[in-house]
Amino acid sequence: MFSPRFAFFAFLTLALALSTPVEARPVSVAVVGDSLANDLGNGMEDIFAGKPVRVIKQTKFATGLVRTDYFNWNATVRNALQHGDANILVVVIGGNDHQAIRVNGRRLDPLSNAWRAEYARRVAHFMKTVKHSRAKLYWVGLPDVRSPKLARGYRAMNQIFKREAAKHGFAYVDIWNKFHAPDGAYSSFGKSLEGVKRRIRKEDGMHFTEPGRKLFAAYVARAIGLR
Amino acid sequence: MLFPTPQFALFFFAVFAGAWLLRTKTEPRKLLLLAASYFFYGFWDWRFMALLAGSSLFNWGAGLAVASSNNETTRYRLVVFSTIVNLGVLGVFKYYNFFIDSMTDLTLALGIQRDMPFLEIVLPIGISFFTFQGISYVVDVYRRQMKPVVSPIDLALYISFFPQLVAGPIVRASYFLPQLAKAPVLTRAAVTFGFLLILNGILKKTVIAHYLAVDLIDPLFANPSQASSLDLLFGQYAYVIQVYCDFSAYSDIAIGAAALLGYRFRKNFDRPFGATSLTQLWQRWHISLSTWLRDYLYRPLRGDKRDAGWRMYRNMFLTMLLGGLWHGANWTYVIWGAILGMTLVIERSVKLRWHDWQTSRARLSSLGAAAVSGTATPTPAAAFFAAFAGWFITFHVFTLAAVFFRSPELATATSYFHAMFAFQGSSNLLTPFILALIVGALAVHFRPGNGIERMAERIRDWPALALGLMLGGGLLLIEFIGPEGVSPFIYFQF
Repeated sequence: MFSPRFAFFAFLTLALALSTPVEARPVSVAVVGDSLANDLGNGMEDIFAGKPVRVIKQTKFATGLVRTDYFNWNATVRNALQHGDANILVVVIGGNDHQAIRVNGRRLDPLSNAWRAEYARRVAHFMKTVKHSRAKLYWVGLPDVRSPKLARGYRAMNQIFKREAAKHGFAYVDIWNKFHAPDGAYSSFGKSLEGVKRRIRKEDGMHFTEPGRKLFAAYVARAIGLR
Repeated sequence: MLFPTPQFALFFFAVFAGAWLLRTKTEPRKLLLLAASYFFYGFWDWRFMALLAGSSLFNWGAGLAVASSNNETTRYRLVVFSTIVNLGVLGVFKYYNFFIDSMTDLTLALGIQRDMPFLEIVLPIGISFFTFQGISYVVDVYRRQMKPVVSPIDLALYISFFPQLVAGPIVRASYFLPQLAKAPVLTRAAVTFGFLLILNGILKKTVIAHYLAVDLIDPLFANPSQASSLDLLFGQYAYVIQVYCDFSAYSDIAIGAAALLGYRFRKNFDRPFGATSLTQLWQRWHISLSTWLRDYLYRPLRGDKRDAGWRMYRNMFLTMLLGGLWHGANWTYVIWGAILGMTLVIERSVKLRWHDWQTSRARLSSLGAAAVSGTATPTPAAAFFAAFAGWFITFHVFTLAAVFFRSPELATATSYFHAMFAFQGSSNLLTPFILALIVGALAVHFRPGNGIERMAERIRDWPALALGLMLGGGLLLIEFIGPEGVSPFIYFQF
């Protein structure tokens, strides 16, 4: 039954099968959030150009979780998830949220105890909405910024993001000090992916230049296992 | 503090009350306005108050030094020195890192990996504007168009006067300083004019510019390759309207606020999108900058000889190119300036050749003297067609070039044009509301000029209560239809 000829052809077939590369399952990364998410999405498009990684941007400038009267992220992301096929979902949001929250006619000042509680509730609600997705979930913290007042706010908000991420099944990606100068201070310049010092943050002290976006994307891609 | 905010309203009310209480006491009034201007500037960033003061003192001293010498060579050297210092300060704050970044691009392209000496420099707000004001003052003194100011307070107030400090208009010293010397008078005409301008500015900024930016322009420029060609086509129209509304709104509020304090500024925009040639466009768009570039860059380049040849075209092109660079430290602004410079040169060249051809043709024919002089009257249809063609070309040159002005990088602009001319996708951003804003905002440019002035003249004798109700009602209406919160004016970044 197992003649030498049969064995030879079986061995040949097995060898051919093992040597043929298995076509990589394309990865779809949905990047959701505000203008910083757009920077991340653009950076990912650049670093994954020509690679089997599809980047889907669902971003809207000047939005967040505070001004739900202006733009409702929960409703938007719910609709998007119904039609999306991303296997990784990355959220970057909060850049526009360092402002007062109005609840039932009451004004909550940023970073007050009441504000932190309400903001955490909104983050949790958003995370629960997004959890309906079948994708692997990541929440990227806010980067350090030039304005000391805004930096204090973002640091506090990152603590909220990290705590809620742990409760709701998100992996938290901390990029706070990834773009710092060697002395740990905010810097608009840093080593680009080409290995030389470039301007990585824009004049506004917040958003990223093209080299900065690629760096941002590279950090996050490493954190989510794509590099 | 931003203009259309409650904080500015409170600040302005306090300054208005104080300035008019001191209307007969010229020196204390100037000191109050100077202190208010420094408070206004320091509210943005207190660290640069010293820079503003230093620039004012330097230019005050330079003006006195130039005027005190009778030796033309010395005067010339002093004015060149003061211009170099002014431009040097602007260059370091605004262009140093751009230059270093460009050198890095070059070295990388040559395969050299080297860390360049970047500096963590914050761009002081309004530096492009107050530097140009300082230069114009010293040059005007050098040209003997005005005497130097003896009081440093006067010069400091001219340079730092808060209505125009951070985003213009670029006011000429010879126009403003004589007004400081006189006791101001608050007339009903000035009050109605001022309030109408401010209301007009708030409407343009908080409604038209805002919704065009948020609902169409920002999403398009964030992801141009994903957008439909129709959205991109209207996006470029919407963007020039957004810039116009944003920038002219600031000018309106600045001019209106100055009027309420008893000072007249010249208008900075005059229905630019009704222009039927690029030459006419630049006589109507950012007039204070266009005239500054004409008087302090183009005319020195031209010299005393009025060449009509390649030197004229070179000077025109260079003026527009440097005008583009003034707007920002990015190659996109340089390209914007170069496109507008090149098209202005082409337009001038075509017009001159057309005139020469018409003249020589008329000489060969029996059409008569009017034709020889080039003043033969065209038919109404021909005149309309010529005007429409001129408007169409002018408007589209401006809107296409503006894609570079808006793009943060060259790649965004190329992606925008690539997608726009790909005839792809179906529109999902262009709503009837956005279309109405675009068409409506454009239509206003074809109305007769001085609309605000004429309206102010018509209503200035209304009872005070009626005027107050109209102003209050206007503000409430804008508050109702506008968004909550105000984004900074586009031209603050310059």
